[in-house]
Amino acid sequence: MDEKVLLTGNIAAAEGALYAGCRHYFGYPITPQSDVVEYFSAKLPQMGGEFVQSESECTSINMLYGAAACGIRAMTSTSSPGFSLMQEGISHIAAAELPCVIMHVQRGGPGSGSTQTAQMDYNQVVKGGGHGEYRLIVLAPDSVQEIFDFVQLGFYLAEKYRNPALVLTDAIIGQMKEDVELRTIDFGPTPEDRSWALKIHRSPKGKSANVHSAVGIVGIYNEWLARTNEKYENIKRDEVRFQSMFMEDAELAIVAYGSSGRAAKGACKLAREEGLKVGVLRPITLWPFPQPQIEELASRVKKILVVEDNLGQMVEDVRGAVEGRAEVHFMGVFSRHMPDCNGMIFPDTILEEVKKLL
Amino acid sequence: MAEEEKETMELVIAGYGGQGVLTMGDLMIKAGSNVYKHVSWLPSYDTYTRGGRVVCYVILSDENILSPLVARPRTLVIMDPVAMDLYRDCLMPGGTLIIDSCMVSPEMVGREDIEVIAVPASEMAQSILTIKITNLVLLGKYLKLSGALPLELVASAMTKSKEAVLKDGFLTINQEALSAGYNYAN
Amino acid sequence: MSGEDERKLICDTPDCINNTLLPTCPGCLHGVVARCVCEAIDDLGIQENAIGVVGVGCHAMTAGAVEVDTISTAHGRAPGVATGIKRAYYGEAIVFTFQGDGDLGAIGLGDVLNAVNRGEKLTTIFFNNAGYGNTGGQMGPTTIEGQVTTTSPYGRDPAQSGFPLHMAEMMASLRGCAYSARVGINNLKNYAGARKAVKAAFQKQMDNIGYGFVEFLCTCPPGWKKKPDEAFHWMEKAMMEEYQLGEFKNVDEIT
Repeated sequence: MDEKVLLTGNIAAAEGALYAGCRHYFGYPITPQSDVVEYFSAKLPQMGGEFVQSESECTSINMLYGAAACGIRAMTSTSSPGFSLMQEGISHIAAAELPCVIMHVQRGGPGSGSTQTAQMDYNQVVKGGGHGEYRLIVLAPDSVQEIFDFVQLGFYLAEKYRNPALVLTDAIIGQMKEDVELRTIDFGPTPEDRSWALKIHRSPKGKSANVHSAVGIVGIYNEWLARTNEKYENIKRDEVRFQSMFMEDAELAIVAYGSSGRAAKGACKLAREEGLKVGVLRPITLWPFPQPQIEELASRVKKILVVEDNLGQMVEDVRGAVEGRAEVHFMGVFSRHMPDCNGMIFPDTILEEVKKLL
Repeated sequence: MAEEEKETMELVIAGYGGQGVLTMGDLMIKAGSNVYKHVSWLPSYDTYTRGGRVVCYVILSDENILSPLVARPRTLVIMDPVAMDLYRDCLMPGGTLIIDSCMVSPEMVGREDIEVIAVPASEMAQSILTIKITNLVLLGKYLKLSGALPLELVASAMTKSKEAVLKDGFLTINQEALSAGYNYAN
Repeated sequence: MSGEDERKLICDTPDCINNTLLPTCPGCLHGVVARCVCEAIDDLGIQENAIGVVGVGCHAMTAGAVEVDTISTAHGRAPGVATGIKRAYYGEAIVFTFQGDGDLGAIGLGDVLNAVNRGEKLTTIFFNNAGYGNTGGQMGPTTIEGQVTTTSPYGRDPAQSGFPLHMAEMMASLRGCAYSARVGINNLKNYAGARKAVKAAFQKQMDNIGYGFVEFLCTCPPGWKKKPDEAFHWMEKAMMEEYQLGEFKNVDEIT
């Protein structure tokens, strides 16, 4: 029988990685994800794995680059300022088309910002962050169970497409505790070809593997651009994931992800109890963005309310998908229950806004 | 025998770092997960390790917990004056406010539409051994008032605490604090 | 006299050299460093487990000469990437980095210091040519005092831009370092010493002792705006005066 335990989102992420067979972790302490680093430092040596505390997030991501280049399951985790430091390495990993998982627990920014929750890194995570043309597969869980599951899904998708995957949480769902069912999820086979990976015990006569992030300089640029473009199009076609709730007869749809998605679902339930026709569409993959689903939504509902704990980032993508066919409204940081970094967007506040709009 | 669906319990606890706010919530979900189908525990705290504002949202429910955030709790535990200023208004009208009256004067409450349960928890804790167990006194009182969980279940949850390996003597004292709060009559 | 060819082969290419044409400039010594590393790999019989990690700079192209699995990294980040590879194979891979002076001494100084300080079992081949070659001859951390470059047009002035960085000595001062040497490849005697040093640095890794570091003094005729022979003589004179050759650390246990 599957084991059910109480875990924080952060520890669930670590457990998800261990259940996925990841035995290599590289990290650096930063609030609110230092417990991930601590957990791996205790667990991996006991499991025959390798834990390295790096001197910076810049080096964490490069250690991950090296490990991923060997074709093994490896991971790092960080929070917003640390994620900024990783951009260079992520760009190189994407260029070299290596599978790995990055766990990102958002806190408030910019600068050192706050150590409390926020969703201010949407653009950085989804649109790139590092230089050049690349995409990360971005999974946005909204519960501790999903964090556990999506780290495993992240490894699978990363290997399926040879592309880094990122699991995006925040201080709310990273630090909260819920029940988690611990089990290894079988997503199916991943590509068997490992010829691209750095190897040992290789035959000196065989062709050597050369992992390149300098894709343009080594003379394969157009080939690389065409291949990755096709890959990105395939991911956009096949890997969109979202949750839809109470949408059948909804007149207003709330679009929110992660912790705001939880608040939105809470608000939706309160609204339904009052007879209001409100539904929720929660993007699970932020890239690929559920653009077709939101396009379709725009033809069914009159109004869309985007809730995210920032000054308005995902709302731009929603507006882009809606193309003026429905009203798009936004609520963000100024709807927090406290006017400082301890503030959070509560279901009740969302309900008030919904009532104003209906 | 079909199990009857239990009432959802929502609790907000607020104080400052080091008072054991998060531990109280943690004990609730550890014990609660044996009784309720779903539990959630959400901490929010300032940057400093000790002395910053801290609040904990706890939900025990047989229904899916859609949002772990509790905006209008029916029960609120307040452990210091700053938390009182910040959180007193969120308590639902007709709700119950449990305060450590050694830290917060009942006069500070300033609301007529709620029930205030003043427990001299710090003094009670000190008389047992140390103010470090004040949180357990308040938790005991909450358990008595809410009926959310049996006292024994929460007491035994302490033995499962992985974070703090409690020596026998300390465990007894912790359980004593919990009982003292449970049996405290205003 | 018989018709048979009685000439003897006295010098062949190393087994693990990749006979791709290196895009190095006339008078550049990087290719000689590559040969030296290949010979050391052959001597030690570690080709099948060797993995090369390169940063950004001329040294990165040089790695193409070594017939092993390789990975290119961001500027200065090779020690971190090498750490990831070493750990991925639980220490079984023999991992080395090729890094230039800008890569290692400037942008990646923190990376290498921390890798050495962790006592990683890695080997770094450091190409010191007193400046940035790939970008066109700018001042680097190892540019010597008074040296004219495109970003020190009046000569490197310590009051304005500090002092030449002595990497081999610095590495030796770290407890995680098992071997550190600075070598020249300007004559056969020095070349033999360089080959020995590279072998020793690899040996520290193979024996699981600690970090091995070998600094090569190299030329950069176009970067220095000198003809190949002038560059060679300037290296022998000015650079070798600033950077003393020698072994700065050689221990069998890091403590």
